[in-house]
Amino acid sequence: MARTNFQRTNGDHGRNNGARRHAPLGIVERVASAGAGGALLAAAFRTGVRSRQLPMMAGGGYLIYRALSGHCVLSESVGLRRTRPGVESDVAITIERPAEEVYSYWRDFENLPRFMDHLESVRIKADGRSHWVAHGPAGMRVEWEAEMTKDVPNREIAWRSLTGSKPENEGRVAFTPRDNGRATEVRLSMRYHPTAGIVGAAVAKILGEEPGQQIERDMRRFKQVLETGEAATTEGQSSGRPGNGQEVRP
Amino acid sequence: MKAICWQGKEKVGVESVPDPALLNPQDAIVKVTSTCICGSDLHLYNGYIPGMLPGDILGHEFMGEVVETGREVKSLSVGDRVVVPFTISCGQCWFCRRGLWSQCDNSNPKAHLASAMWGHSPGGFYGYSHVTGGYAGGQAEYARVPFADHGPMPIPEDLPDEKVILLSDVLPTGYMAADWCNLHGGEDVAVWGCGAIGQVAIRSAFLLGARRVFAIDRFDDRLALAAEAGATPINYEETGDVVEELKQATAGRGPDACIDAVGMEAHREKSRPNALYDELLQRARLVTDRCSALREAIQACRKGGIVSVVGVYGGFGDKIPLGAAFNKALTIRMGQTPVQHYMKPLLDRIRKGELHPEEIITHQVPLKRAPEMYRTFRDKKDGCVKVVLKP
Repeated sequence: MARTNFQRTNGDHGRNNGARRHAPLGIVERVASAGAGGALLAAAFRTGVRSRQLPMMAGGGYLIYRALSGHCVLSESVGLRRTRPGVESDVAITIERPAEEVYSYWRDFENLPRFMDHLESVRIKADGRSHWVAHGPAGMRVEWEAEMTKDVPNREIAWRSLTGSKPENEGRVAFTPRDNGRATEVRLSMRYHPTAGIVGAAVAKILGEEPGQQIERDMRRFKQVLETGEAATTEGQSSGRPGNGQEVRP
Repeated sequence: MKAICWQGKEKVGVESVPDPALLNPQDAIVKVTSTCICGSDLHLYNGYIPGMLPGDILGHEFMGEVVETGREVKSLSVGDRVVVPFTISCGQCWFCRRGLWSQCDNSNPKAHLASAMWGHSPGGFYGYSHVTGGYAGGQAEYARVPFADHGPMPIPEDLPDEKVILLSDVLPTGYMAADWCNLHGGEDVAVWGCGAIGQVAIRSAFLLGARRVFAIDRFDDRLALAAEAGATPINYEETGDVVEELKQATAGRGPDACIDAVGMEAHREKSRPNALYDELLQRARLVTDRCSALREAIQACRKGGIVSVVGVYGGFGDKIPLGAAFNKALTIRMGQTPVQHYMKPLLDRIRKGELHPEEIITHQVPLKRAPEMYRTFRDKKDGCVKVVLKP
């Protein structure tokens, strides 16, 4: 249903994920690591458990851990494999509503906070530009101005923050009819450019550990709102947890 | 209100929690009059379903009276007596419109968790872990029912709770197991597991034309209940080789359809290497599902036959005989029940006297006795097959 490209790409290809500061190992590296680790361990055990085999075992164990976790603690600790902060996410979803309806809902940017978790409000100003407010950690707010850069009725909308805005960001959403116009394929591409300082840190925090996942969740809510008229939720339901009403996210 | 909460592995408790409130315009609140413990709740109790949090309200089989409705609820009114399907369904998405109610695209607010595990998310279910939504369940005095126009079914006043409560899950699920067997009359069907679902599957298979139904379990009281419905009991602890036994009984051909009403916590005699192997793997968390019932069903099924799986599986199983399934050209069907699809036809069958769901209810107790009933049910003590809790 939804796909986030950032999960398969990293800084080497110019697509970045701000929260995960270290690029994971590729599949070839992981398989090689697992193979070498296994061979080391096997060799160590074949010759019997003696003190001089311990480094071999430790080395083999580490290589297998590296293969399984996809992260190399050693190269990360010396600053290799570090990617630049910044987020780009592509998410695609199919909505059982005609493209005209899906487009119109998005075209009114003031609707976006209804399904985009990190947005507090979007206000359309008299000059056609818009004022965006996102809520961050510890009650912090991040605000920017944006303008629409493309508007093809029922097909495509693109926007970007005005020069000098922090965070610098842009988005593009395309609508493709399917099933004889009964449904619409929606493809969203959002990009938050690397920003230094407190705003950059706040954006990273707002978008969380897995920004692609957050945007995917936003798109699921978009679909829920359009198809059913409401976003499914359990927030505020009762439970036997202390401080009841506070829904915990596992 | 009082609610039954999951507190950890093998720990459930009666807790005082706030009454549920309407959270969305299409919600309703139901005052629960009957709610059951399901065999699949025991997977939660035993700690084999991921994504449970201490304090989660349990229960996905419940019925009661509508006491409050959201402003967008159109088909229900305060005072209606309803059975609530365990599947939460929006009624609008591609899947709901095609009758795949349990696969609703919109009802799981934590779909990303399920999607990460299974590729895609099924719909939300009550009281069944955060992977399927984390919705508060129905083992409570009141329950919140989302998308209330697309689930709860009004029940005529003349039918008592015990006649209709099983429409929330057990009856549709057991019936679907038999429905999937594509019976035309004269078939042999084998059913693994004679708990509540298996009992309904046995009765439904006869209703849909089966000539013989073989009931496989290790508890004599459950086998006796199956025999009452006309099934041929096979106690696998006494028989040993169930596949061979079924081959003998069907003169070599094998059952036309095999139903797995057991799922992820299959038991086998401890002396058998397979059982020990499964249990070790599961305890080490290398697999989540013990598959001995499914293995036998595939191995026993006749060539070109159907294996119908309604026992719950959650993650990964081991040594599923794909070679047997492939080379014998089997059809395997499985999944969570689209309850809404079956509720009305089954209510009609109850009215006509074709199904008597009340005969498999063995215990009716006050809600506050749930903790002890979870134990009794899990340990198969006291002839326990189906527990109804009364708030």
